[in-house]
Amino acid sequence: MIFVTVELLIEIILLLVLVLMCFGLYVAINGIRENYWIKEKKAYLDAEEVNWYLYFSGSSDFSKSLIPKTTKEIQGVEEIFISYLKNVSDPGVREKIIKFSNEYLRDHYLKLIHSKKWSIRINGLKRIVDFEIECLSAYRKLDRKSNSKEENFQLLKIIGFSRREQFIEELINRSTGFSEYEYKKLFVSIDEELLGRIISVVENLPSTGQYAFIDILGHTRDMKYLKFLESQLTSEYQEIRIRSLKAIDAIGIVVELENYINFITSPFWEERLMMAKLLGNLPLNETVSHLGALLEDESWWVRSQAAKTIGKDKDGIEFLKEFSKTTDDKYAMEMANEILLNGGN
Amino acid sequence: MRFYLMEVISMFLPILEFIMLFFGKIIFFYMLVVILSYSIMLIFASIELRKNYKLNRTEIEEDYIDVIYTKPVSIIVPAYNEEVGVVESIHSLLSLRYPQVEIIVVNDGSTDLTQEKVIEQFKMKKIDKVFREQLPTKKVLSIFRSEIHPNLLLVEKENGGKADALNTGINIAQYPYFCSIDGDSLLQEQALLHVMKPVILSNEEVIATGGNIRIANGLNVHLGSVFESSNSSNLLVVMQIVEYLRAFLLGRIALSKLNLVLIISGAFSVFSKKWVIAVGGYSTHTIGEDMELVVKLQRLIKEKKLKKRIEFVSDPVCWTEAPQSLEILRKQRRRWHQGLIESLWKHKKITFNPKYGSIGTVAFPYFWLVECLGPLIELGGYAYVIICFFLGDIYLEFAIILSLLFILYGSVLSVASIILEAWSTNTYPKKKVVIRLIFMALTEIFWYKPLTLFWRLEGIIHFLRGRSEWGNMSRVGMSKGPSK
Repeated sequence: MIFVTVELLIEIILLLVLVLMCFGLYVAINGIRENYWIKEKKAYLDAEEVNWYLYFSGSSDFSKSLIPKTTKEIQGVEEIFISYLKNVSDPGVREKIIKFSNEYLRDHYLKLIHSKKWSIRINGLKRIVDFEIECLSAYRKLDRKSNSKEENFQLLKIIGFSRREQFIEELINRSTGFSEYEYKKLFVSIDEELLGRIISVVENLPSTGQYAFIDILGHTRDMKYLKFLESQLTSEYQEIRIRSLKAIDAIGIVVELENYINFITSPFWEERLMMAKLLGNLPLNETVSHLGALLEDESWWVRSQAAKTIGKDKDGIEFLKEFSKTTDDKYAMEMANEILLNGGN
Repeated sequence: MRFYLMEVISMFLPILEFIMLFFGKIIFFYMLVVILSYSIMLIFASIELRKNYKLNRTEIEEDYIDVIYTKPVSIIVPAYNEEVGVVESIHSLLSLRYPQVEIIVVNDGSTDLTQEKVIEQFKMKKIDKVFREQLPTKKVLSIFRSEIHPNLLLVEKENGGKADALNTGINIAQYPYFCSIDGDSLLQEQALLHVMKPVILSNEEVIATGGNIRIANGLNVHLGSVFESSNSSNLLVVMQIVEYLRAFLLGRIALSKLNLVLIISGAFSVFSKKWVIAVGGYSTHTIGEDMELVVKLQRLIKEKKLKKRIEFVSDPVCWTEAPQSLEILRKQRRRWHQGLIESLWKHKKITFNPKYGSIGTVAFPYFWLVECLGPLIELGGYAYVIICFFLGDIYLEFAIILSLLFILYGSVLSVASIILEAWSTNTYPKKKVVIRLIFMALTEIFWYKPLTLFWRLEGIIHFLRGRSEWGNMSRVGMSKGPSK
């Protein structure tokens, strides 16, 4: 009945203790090694930080001492580069970084992206993106079928700057499973021309890609995308319509109110809500009747937004005062009063 | 006379033998199940940690800072008699790095100067805010907005308990996600970014996330690693550090990967407002309202066959003060356990029910057996081992076997988690600190474990007693406000 004997258990425990001790030893050794490497990196930084500054600022020429010789020194250079890329907007600095990386760091990163460990490959790919290192031909040789999502994401960023012509095709092939965030990051990283070209193929992207694309177009605040966004308003998918309205609102220009009128009486409250927001982009005297109707909408959210929109206009307070005297709708009156009492906020 | 006594005893001997063997088998079987499940979870955790081991994480969070990538979050802070620390908490929340956030402090009928302090410090002005009561709560008396931080609100309401205060915050929150936080939680600057990461990367499939809670006692904490704070001289605190570490590495990571999460700590968590309202918000009649909410959400996910998940974030983002005295710790553990059983009991029909997928067939049975009834069996095990040693003979062998199993379960797994932590965080603490922690972990089964088991047993008794006085208990609980 008791198939486990004391001896067996003691053996198991001793074995596990041995395993743990080995693991503990491994961790301890790793720790010592890591601390040594950190010292090495710090030594490089102490010695060369100032020289990098002088080189970037143009005060001195390039010096061979800046070239890192060990992996830890390369990490020191990485830290310096990342810090400059994040905090300094001088295009000259950026060029110097790209030139240096392509000349002296390329081999190191090529080694990283060939690593068997996923995390090391990702680190390598990220740096290649950050420093715009030309490496695509080398990577292609071992382009796996089973690239992880993160690898595909980094790869697309690389293609975005080094093989622009292929970007759109690769986007459609490689972006399965991407979240909106990943799409947005990609669309933000490519130039305007590529962004414009995506318009013709956007239907081939999965829905997350389409939503992200619409959001990013709104984010550009560029009028030239209005035509495309307005075309999306006739989409059969509600989410596309809502996002397009939101993007148009973000751009902040309403050219032909007639194109949007139907949304004011849409059966979906989300669309009516977006209209309540959108109408804020036109002068109140043009939209007052519509906003008044939305102020008496059956949805609380729509009423609330309509009141906020009216309150933002310079004549809004007057309108709300009149409105709260004349309306029978007590919910609408409540909304109007909130805005009046809080001084238009 | 003596002759009869001997006869009586010898009559009962076979029965005694049967009982001892029977209980022995139960305890033995239980220990095997527990050790097996923890070992599996440890392996899961190791694989997951190894994958991210070398990943350079320094710039990952910067990516999310831009408002176009993130979703706005409302932070809800329920406050009851927190005049001592509330202002500081709010300051630390205001300095969080996140593009779009609003902070809603809910004064749950405090009897001290909580409200006055907040109004004075942040120049709050009363506003007339219309909000939609999507969840029923106690009456809201007034709402204030800060003139210096327009995204900071203060809500004054009738006392109704922590759950009620949170529900009020949810009603007033304008953003699609809300963050629930304890008054004494200290957050890392990028905490919100970390916990919203799974939500954003999953296209909002993830509807709730919990952060990794760590213990940081003492005001001089600078939110460093576990090993730094383990230097505390208070033994209870050090033991709790080991405990949290083990619970997290052994429990949460694996459960999160398998979508079997049933508990997210109320100390710091993020929820999707829409889904929380769909399940009726926080329940005001339970002690463990955080677990209750998560169970309700999991239930909804399974019942409606939604493709949603609840996850954990393994980056340490929140630091909390651990009880430093036996009495307070006892109350806390008793309360936790009582809350646990209440939630399990309330949703008992999920257990073994295949309609609820792995939540019903794996998570619930695991929680019932290991987390809930565990204290009973383990305490029984302790008693059993002691009895066996006295009885001697064949029972001695049982006693030794069970003791070894206890050691395996208690000490070895704890030490494994400590070493795993040292390895995975890549911070490589001083050897002395780690060894000290390991020694503390080894002593656990001799004093700390039996204590916590006993307190959890008290929780079971309280639960059983509470059920028969359901009406009374709920009234007492609510008027006291959130207990610490």
